[in-house]
Amino acid sequence: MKHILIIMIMVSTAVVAAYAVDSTKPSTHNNYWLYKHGQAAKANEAECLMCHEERVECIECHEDMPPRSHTSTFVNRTHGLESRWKKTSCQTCHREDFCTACHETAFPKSHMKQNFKGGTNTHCGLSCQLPVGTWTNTVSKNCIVCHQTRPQLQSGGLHSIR
Amino acid sequence: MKWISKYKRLSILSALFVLISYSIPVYAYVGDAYVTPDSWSRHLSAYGVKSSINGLDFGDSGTLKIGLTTRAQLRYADEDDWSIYQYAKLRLGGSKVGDGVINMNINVRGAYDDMPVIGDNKYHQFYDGLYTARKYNEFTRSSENMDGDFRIYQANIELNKVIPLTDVSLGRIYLTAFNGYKIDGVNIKIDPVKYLNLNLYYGLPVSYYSNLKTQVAGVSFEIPVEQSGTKIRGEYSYFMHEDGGDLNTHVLHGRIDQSLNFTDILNASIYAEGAVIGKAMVYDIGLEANIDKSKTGISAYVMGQYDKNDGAINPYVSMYESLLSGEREYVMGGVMITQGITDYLMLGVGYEGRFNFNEAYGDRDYHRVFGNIDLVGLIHRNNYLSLIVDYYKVAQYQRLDENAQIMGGFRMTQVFTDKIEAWIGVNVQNYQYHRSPVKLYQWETLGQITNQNLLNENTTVAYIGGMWQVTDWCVLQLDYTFEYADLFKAQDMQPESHTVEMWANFLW
Repeated sequence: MKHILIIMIMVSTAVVAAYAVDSTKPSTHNNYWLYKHGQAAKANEAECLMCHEERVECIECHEDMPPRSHTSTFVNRTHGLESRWKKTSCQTCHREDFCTACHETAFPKSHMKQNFKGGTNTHCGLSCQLPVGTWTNTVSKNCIVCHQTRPQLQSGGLHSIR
Repeated sequence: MKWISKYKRLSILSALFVLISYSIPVYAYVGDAYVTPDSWSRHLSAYGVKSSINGLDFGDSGTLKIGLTTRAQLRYADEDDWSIYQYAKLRLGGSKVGDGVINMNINVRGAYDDMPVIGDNKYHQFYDGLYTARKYNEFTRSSENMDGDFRIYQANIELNKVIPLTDVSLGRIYLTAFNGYKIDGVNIKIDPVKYLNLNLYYGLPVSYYSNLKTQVAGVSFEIPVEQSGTKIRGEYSYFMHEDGGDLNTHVLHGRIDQSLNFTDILNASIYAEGAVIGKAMVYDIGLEANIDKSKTGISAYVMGQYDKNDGAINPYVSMYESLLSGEREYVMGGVMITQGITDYLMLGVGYEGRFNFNEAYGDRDYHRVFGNIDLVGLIHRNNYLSLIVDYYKVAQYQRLDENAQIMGGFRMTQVFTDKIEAWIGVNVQNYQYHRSPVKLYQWETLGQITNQNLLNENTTVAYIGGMWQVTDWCVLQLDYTFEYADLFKAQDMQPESHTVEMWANFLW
């Protein structure tokens, strides 16, 4: 088995070594093009469209598919943190409509708790998306991520602030 | 026993062959030593929609490019999720009409998501943009009742010089990269003289996530001076909201680009850009320079916001307002230097920092340093390897301690043939943060944050994938991603998640 494996590696290496693939991409398209292509496109978009006339590559990253950095950790927790310092990075693809839309539709896990809405002290101690504490140590700061006005109680008064 | 010794000899020869093959460096890409492979962007996302390769040539009637892509995504963790996407692209380019040409573009996406029905208050670990978009089916522009997702990325017709000196674009179009606006409407470009062109546009800005209730009308000009390598541009847009008042917003934009080319010595470009958005002013000044002889690249920029909007602003241009970007003045800047050491080794280092003049809604000052080590064709012919590190140090705030984020890992792509490429990569992200994600600025005197314990969590992402161009009209791609998150482990949830994505492109 070991020998077969070695032979396979040898054959595949020989096949690979037989090719020297020419790139048709400009020399600017190296590993740092990620950081630079935005300004280059602003300076001369027509040059970009000579090859990318269907705009597939633009749509790919800026409109269609989240990057690998948007892990489930990012989606559930850390995007809020990062948006506080990487705003200009967020703005590459997102505007405020995206933030607002998701925070209106994606219910945090904490909100699935029984009697979350109704009972006294059943919802004010929970953080956004994942529970990370009790009501005594996480005050309403987490609520305002989505609920940006003080809610009205069933009794008619405004919700108190802890 | 004789056949065994034969195999032993064969094994030694094979091992030597492999060793020699891998130790002799050969340019991965003839003539462009540092150019990354075509599939290099798979390290940023697993995206697998391909551009059409040749198209169908109909002579003066134009070239027709057709693309159909099916994408299936499966995700497993505590919860499962699967989605199926169908993409369709069509471009008819270069159809001659009189002295001009006509181009047509269509690019659409349909999607099915197995997520719960919107509005049933069920939590799902894999809530994502697709789920969000489903509530706001942008095709209808106003409906909040339709399930499913259908997007039109672009659907337009371009009449270039069919009318003398004039280009007309009609439909769902992208305006210039200057501002990135996408509208349902019309853009008319007029080239009266060599050194001037004008654009007039009107339409409805496009959002996949909400009904913007906005119209935009604008005019822009461009003065390209080829002899001096100068380009001057200006633009005025007026965004009109259904509700009127402060939501009607004026946007004024200007930019100057200057290229400097000294053959075999220096290639550089400098830009200065500014915009007035409502009352706020933003600016961005930068430099990009390459010294070919020393294989050195230098990039630098300074950008910021001067003055702020006190009142409301149109939601389509509110990127400088409210949740996403704060409403206060700031300045940030960065510099990056890349240095080629040999034909096979390139180093890059960079710094970026941001300073906010006022403490607004959660805005944070930070310092960032990052670096790359790129090995091109060193490990093996047509191999590209990059080692990366990226560190953010976020300054402490009035009632929030400092945060930090560090990421490290590697990215590697191997081009086997001009039809087969494969990639593999690992990223480890470490977050050090405190419990509160949001600063309670307007209520800060009413309560005390009593528990600000430091959390120190890792997220590890590993992925592997490959692309195979079976024929000129068929390209297949497979990608697998593994994620391990301390965050979920701490919540007694399954820390591992698995994602498999399959793509099938049919292109003509």
